[in-house]
Amino acid sequence: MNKVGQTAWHINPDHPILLADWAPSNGEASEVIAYHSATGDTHLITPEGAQILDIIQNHSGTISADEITEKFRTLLADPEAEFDSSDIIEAFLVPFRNLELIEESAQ
Amino acid sequence: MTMSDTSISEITQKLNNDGLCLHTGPFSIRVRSEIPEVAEGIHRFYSSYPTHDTDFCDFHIGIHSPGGLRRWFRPQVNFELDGLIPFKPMPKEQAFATFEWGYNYCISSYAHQYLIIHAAVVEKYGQAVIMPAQPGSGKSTLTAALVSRGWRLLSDELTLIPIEARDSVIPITRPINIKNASIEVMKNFAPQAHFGPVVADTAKGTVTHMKPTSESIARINDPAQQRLIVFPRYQRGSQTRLSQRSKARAFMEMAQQSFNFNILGKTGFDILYNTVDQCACYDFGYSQLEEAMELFEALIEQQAGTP
Repeated sequence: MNKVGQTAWHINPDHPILLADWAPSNGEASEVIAYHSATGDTHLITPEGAQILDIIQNHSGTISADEITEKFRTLLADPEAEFDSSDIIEAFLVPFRNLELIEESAQ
Repeated sequence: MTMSDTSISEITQKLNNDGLCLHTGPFSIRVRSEIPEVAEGIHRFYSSYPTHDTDFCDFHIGIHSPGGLRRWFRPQVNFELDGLIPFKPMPKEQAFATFEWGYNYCISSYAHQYLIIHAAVVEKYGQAVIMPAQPGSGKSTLTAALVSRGWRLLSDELTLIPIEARDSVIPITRPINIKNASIEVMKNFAPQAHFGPVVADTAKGTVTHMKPTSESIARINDPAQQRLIVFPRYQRGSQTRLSQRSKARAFMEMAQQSFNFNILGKTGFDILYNTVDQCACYDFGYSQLEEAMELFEALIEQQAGTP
């Protein structure tokens, strides 16, 4: 494990993220609504992003980027997909932090 | 008792004294004003609405001259809500439009027993079509055209979804605000409709109002079932086209067009999810009203399962 992978993340349980999605039709890409109950902001995110938020939200307390990555890998249909925690941080965790959907915990 | 039993002199007298109680669906208002344009507008557009004195009114509205030199020099009016003045004064010629816009402000600012969306609503066969749109999209023109062809008007501006009955839409049937080039378009399209005076140089350009049909007003207490969400867009010269919009993107636009989605928090989220979930969602582009009428008729017949 590297230091980056041990960064810890959480969602304030007092201000949960509400997710909503519908089955896509006409071959359109699937999208998920993420509503932040603290800020009232609504975002359109990918299904993979919603899975990441779900992992963090369903974890009690903080969860490391490495743990998120492993849980996400088990959810994917393609277990051979190559990515590591730095990819997850760059693609999901940092953007979500910038949107104030998740918080990075102090180490 | 309806306003049709009340003469304009009686309306003027009530407006000048204790106020006129007007029942517009879910809201009762008491209006006070010494401005003749307000009395004329209420007489013209609200003649079929119920009126009877009541101890409780949701909003106490005043349209008054600010006094001083402005009573004679470029006269203005203030909109007052419960004695407070939330806006800058408007030219006196715009007194009735100020009343209408101010009433919208009252509802959108305080009626949080509803999820309120900036959207027109019309109904046919018991099925409501919700039409959210940005200003300038042709929403009111399309609404007015549909109403002139027999659709029931619930609102040209505010969609009210009750927290306690979230499958329905509540009517707040009032005059349709028509702007700029749409005024002539609608006068040609629906010459039988009743229009008010045309007022130039308002914040929204040149405006007039079109009276809702008697049938729409008679059913002002009759909710409709949510069925379709259509995002209209007028584009000069464009072909009539209807394309499905994803529910996620419909949700995003509806949330952006809502006045109180954030105020209602999780309740607002749940109500909007329910609405989007049970409605088919479409983008609709048009430039020809006749073609738009045909398409809407076919769409609602398909939804209602009529032949």
